[in-house]
Amino acid sequence: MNQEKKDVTYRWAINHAVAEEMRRDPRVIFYGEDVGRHGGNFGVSRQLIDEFGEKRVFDTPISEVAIIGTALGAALTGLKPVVELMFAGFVGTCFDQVYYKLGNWQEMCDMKSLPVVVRLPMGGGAGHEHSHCPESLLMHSPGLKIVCPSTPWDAKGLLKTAIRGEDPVCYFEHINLYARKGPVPPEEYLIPFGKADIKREGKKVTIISYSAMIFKALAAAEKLAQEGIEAEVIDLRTLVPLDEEAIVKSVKKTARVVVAHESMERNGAGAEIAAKIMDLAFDYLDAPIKRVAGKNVSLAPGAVDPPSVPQPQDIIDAVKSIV
Amino acid sequence: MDIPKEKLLELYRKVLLARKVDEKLYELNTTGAFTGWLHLGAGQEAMPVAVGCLLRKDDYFKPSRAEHAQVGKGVPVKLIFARMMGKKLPEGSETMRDYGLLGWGTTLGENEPIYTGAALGAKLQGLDRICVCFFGDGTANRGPVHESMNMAAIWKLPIVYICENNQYGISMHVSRAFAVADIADRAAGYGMPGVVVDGNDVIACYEVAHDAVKRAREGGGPSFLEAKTYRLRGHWEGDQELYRPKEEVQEAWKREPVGKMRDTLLKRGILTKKDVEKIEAQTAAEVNEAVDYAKSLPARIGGGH
Repeated sequence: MNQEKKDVTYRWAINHAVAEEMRRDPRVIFYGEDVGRHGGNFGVSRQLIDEFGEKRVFDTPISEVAIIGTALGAALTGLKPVVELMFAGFVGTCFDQVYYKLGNWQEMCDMKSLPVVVRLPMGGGAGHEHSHCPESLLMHSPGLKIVCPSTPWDAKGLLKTAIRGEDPVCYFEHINLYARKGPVPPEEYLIPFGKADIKREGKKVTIISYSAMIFKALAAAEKLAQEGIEAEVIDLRTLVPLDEEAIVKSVKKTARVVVAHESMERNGAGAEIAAKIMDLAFDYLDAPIKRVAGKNVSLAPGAVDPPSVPQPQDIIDAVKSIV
Repeated sequence: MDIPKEKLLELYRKVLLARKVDEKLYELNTTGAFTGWLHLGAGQEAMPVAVGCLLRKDDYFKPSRAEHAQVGKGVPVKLIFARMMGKKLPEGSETMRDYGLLGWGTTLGENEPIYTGAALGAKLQGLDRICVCFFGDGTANRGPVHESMNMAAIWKLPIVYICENNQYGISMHVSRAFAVADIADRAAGYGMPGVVVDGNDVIACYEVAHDAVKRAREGGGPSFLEAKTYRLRGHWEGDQELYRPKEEVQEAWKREPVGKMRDTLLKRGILTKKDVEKIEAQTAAEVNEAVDYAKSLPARIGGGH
């Protein structure tokens, strides 16, 4: 990498990924509520309509079922739709389309190619339906790829892979990360699915996480380091497919695991990850796997992080309980 | 409308074929050639066949009840039986997708947005294709149908929505499911034309569908057709039909579309009694040949409906 990496915000990294893929492939279209002239509720799609025009970047009425359904149908005619649900919690309004249709169509209807990317912004403190993190619900579908980037670098590379692929993808953005800057390579790059990123190396404990929780995990790891506890932080980046190899490699090294996610503990992604580690690396564990997750309550609105969502101290406490 | 003789004969052959496919499926299912729930469609052949005769091979369509729309569109009958009997087609074989059927899910009302998307895809890519989307009176009340029709209207999509009002959603009569007499009244609310037609009259269906298809093809946007017909059999095979009087069903059989079309063409001198017998025999043979082909195929493992 000869050229200098620029610092770009998470939202612009996403914007650039979409723009680059739309330049590269005329089949890519982009739509949702207020994404055109308005530039998206979170400003993610600013200027796309200026470059690509109204036939490729357009607004819809409030019609989530039709947003997802038409994307599926349009994909079957040869287009590559990238559609937005304004808030991830709105997946409830179109759950059949995302979970039963996108997630099953390829097998159910014997059609291999179904290139649909659904963008879902989660988190952000606006209450249960607007800030819910529903990724674990959609992991439970046979045919959906589940992508949860934390950094601008990951956001861009993963979204490009999603758009270039031939499978339905749920791409979860985190609302609290939109303004966060990070380096992004200026040259073309893709990040494959199923490849976690070791955000911090360590020997004493493995902290597995994704999305905004990664930064809390890193903050926790820094504090733990001051006490001589070196934590390895694995950023899963994609939940489906899951990078089992990276997880097992780390568990063999540390023998202790904390899984951390913002969404509720019960049936959260942590449950699946913990069970998987039991399947694949039980003999290497020296302590039970700890989950640090949201409390099993409805999210209170009104703050960037609701009170029921974990903070770095919760991760520190969990690590200390097993080292 | 002046419909050419060839077209009238095609319409007749196809409604008869649709009925015979239906009857054969019943026979195969009840004699164990294949198992599973069976939803037949006797009485509703007119509109799907009429529309099918107006479409091109690459136009998209979402099926109507039973296999009528596939028959109408010219999908080879052997593909119909292969699917119903859970068989695996040979590698490289034509599939229903080659005839514009893009698959479907079995939750009613959720295919409408998908096929609206097919129309969107056709329009955005400048494909010279339209989409026809069938659903029943029961499905007409589902939310996604509302979203779809509004979206098609605002974007002037090349699609025809056809509601086959067969009077019953399983046991629920339309008079209890709607506060209006005509479902097509809703069309005006979306800003698209809505037309009611006798769904047992093949020729009337053809005329009405002709305009809707032309409108879609010429960039005039969506239309909504309501074909008033009747579901002559139970909702599924095994349905005890305790929700309606037997006399009502018997009366309805007197108005069924296949016989009606036959009588019309006999009356007009387009068919003779000998023609009728000949077509009867040809159609039965076509069905049997398709079944034999399907029986020769291996079973499909996984996927499918």
